[in-house]
Amino acid sequence: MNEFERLKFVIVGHVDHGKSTLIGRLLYDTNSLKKEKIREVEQKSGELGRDTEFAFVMDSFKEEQDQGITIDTAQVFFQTAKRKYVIIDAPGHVEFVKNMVTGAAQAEAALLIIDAEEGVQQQTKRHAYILHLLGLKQVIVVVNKMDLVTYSQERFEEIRGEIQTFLKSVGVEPLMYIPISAKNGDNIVAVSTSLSWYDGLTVCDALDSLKCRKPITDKPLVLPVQDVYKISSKRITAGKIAEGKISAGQPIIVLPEGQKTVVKSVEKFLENVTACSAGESAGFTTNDPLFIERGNVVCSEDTKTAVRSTFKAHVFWLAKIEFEIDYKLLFRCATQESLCQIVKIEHKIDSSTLERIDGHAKKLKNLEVAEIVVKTDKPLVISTFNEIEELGRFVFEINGNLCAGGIIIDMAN
Amino acid sequence: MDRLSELENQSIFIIREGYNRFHKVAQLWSIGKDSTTLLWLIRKAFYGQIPFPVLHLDTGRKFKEIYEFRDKYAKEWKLNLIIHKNQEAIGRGITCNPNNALECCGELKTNALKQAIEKHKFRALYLGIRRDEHGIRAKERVFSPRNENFHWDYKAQPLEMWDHYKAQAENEEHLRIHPLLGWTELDIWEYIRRENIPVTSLYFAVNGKRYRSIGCEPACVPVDSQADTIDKIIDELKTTTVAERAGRAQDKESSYMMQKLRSLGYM
Amino acid sequence: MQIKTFVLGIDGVPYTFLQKQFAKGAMPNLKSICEKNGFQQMNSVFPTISAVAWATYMAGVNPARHNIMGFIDRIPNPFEITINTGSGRKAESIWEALSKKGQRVIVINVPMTYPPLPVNGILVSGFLCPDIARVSYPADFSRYLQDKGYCIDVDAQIAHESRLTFIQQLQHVMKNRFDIAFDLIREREWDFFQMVIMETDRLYHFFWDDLEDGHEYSGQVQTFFEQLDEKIGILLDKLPRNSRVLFLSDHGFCRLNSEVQVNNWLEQTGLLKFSADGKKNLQNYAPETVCYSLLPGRIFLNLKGREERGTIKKEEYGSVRNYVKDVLASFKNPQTGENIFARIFDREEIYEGPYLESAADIIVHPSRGYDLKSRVGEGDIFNKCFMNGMHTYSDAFISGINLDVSTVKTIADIKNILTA
Repeated sequence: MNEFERLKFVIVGHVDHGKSTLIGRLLYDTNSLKKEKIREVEQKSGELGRDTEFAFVMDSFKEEQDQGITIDTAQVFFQTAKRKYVIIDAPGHVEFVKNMVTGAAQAEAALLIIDAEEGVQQQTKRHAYILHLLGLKQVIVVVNKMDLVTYSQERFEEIRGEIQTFLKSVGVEPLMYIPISAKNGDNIVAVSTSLSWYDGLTVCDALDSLKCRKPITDKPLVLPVQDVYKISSKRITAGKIAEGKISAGQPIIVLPEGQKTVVKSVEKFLENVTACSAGESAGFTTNDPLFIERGNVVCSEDTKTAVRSTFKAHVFWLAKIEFEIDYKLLFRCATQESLCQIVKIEHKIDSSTLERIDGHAKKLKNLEVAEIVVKTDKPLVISTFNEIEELGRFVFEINGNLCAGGIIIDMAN
Repeated sequence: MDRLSELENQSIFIIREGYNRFHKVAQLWSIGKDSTTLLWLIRKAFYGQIPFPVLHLDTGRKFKEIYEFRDKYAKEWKLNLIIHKNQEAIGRGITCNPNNALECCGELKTNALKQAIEKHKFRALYLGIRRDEHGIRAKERVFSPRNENFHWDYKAQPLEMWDHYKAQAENEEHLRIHPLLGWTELDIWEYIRRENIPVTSLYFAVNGKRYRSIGCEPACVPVDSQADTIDKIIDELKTTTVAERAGRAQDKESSYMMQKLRSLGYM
Repeated sequence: MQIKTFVLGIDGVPYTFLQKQFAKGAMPNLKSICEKNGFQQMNSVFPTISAVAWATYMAGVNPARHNIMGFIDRIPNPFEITINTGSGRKAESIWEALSKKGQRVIVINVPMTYPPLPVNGILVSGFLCPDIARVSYPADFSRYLQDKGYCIDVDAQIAHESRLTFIQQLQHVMKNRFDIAFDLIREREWDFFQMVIMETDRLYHFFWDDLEDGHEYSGQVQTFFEQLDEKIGILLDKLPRNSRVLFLSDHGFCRLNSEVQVNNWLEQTGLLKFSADGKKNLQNYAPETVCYSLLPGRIFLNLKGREERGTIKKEEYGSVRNYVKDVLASFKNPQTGENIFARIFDREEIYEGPYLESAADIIVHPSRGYDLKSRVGEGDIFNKCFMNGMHTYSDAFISGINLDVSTVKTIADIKNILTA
């Protein structure tokens, strides 16, 4: 058991394809449930005249049990012999895509679940596309309810073919495809005898084969400034290091202005340190009394970023409120903020069919994806998502509420 | 980076976000292990000089150890400690009563908190809740809005992605900030051990009983336990939360292993 | 520069066996090491079985602090026999402790290290790992091993089919393991390197008679030890001069005269009962049962509140346990009158720590030559078996170069020296 690791993964897919049942099963089969909880679930299932309904393990809210759908993202903890896990259960219903994104944005890996009987559905595709937009690289496809299709290899291959084609077109390459029945426990922890034609890993082993996200310490420094504190006589600049390291004596450049100075000291409370690296909430002082403020990005000379106010992005609209092209929006990227305008909608993409629609649209509606050109009021320190994740992803905010997320794909000059 | 350091750094990030966004903030300190861990992280975030008050809601019926602990560390850590009592309710004779928790907790905690928020004009509060505490908390947000009646509208929760949280409290709303949301009870104890964070003696077993959580004296029931040190508490949690089977071969492996053991006469 | 440490574990090699080898001039490399650096007899652990012995070695604490009590275990309620894996270990291993200090470690083939848990370096798990694809941390290191023809373990089933093939495979796998270690010593950066040779245990189990009495395969067995010694010689050449090197075995060996089916005997005494209708196996023991045994020599009382069909009341625990011990002490070989159990312990006599509850209530250690088994319902109490060697407690060995092992009395004492 690796005590030091905890992998976060999200389970996504169309409503009713069995996410909650899979989670219940995982908890049950790995003995992560307390006896009282098992009794409670069995009792509830009995009252409703059903076999043990593993989905009830997850359902802490009454509404959900009655309607049989998950409305919000929820997190539960379990462990295998190898390590600890956090499962993020994301709702499958189209109404709750916003909640699904909240869950999936925190994950290091994803299971995409598909009902063997119903096959690939609208939300299956939309969720797969969101995984791509969120930059999730570790994806496992599970084909559930194999018991309903007599454990047919042919049906499994058919679904695999269909989703594979779709995933390929959005740039997602799953690590593996696993036929399961969450209800009966086939290929969850124990190898299924009903699926003897399948010789790959079980869900549990597949999870154990995933890698935890590691802080990027070996690239040049990126430190978005969160705040500046005056502590005794020192001015300490604070922020969480996105990439690279910061150490005393290191030359740094403060963007977007580009002031140069040298790190005088690295500060941690009650600790004597000379360096901090990616993932750490760090603090430091500088040799020169520079004016540094929230929204600045501290870099080293060789950090591959740029100061821009116009760029191209993919955006995923996640608010009931419809957006019209001349609205002012608040753009937030790392700790930077600026009012901005979407100056052009290149095209929209139907997130469930991937069709390009509306060449010259002026509006964005809930759940639509678009390729857009953004112009910010202030020049900002940005990057493409592929280069520096932290400076290549952003959210839009209207009236204090986040309404969209996106990634920068091209930095126009 | 190990799990505890990752949790610590993320919590400090959230704490600093909260203060930067709202300034008029306070931490709710129950003196229990979670909120003391939170306080420890807040001290780290601000290098020991916490720029906002720490709020203790006093129901008047807490253990004496809690008061002693509070006063000792408020002094040692130079806290700006605000102690708030619902004097009016206490005056009406409302007292902590486990048989009517709704009334006493409502008056002595919820209303006391409302009064304190109103009096000090707090816009956001730091709380030490964890997702693993209760099913309902599995769905909390890191920055979670409450309306003036403290109602939590869990059906319309804000989007949170990539460390971007709701950054404005709308009218008559305050935000609850939950830096420990992703921690488990075991994480808290392991971190307390690692950092040597002081906790009140009530958590340690005396004569086979200890408190697993700490609130008002009349409502607190100790659990059976022999754990009288942090190490033992951690061991106890590992064995109570980890099912009996952990550390044993799973079915599929075990048929192979049995065959092996049999060929060597071990079965 | 950090001084390197290499530990070679050679499973089951008795101190007295090496004495004899050295006396007749065999195994010159190990002989010269032992002569120059000190060579000691060492105690193993109760029960004397590799799973517990190596777990005790790596954790440096007694079983009630690391929680590995045998290869197999039981869940008392509902009753189920399970197999232990390394993830059940509750105390930090030598390599985990060193990893935390930032030392780079390579660990190969230590029993009870499956599943392979992360270290700062490489860990190749050993006995009972079911699949080479899952043998290592990091997982993709198994490809390197597969390319080099690495074999986790020789299948002991082969010994039942062809003893000659078995011994040849043992020789091959032992040599291959050393060769891969030699490559890693050169190719990788490391501070601590641990390897266990398991093949010796198999040899002694299946060929003790050949060794002692010059039977059919004694030449082949002797060749194995000469090859092992040659590899030890090469190993020393490959390590920097100032390295700390430790050689040890986890237990000793002696001739196995008879297997003893403890459960069959318990049934005969009336302490273990089966219901008349069901099949005779431990899952079906009757509620009137007083105790049952898991291998080797672990006796569990049928305690109420703990066991599925427990009937012994808590307040009677002490008196019942004493009674059972009296009965155990009366167990003699009917032919010779010899005691079967040389030592009978209450668990708290030999164990101490938070996992004491997982241990058997009584642990018995056999007289020389009686190997304690736990078959149920079939066959006799005493039987001859295919194997002819069995483990001993007090005859393991230890020898260290640039390491003072004079304070080591039992296998639990080593970790301190290596992690100090």
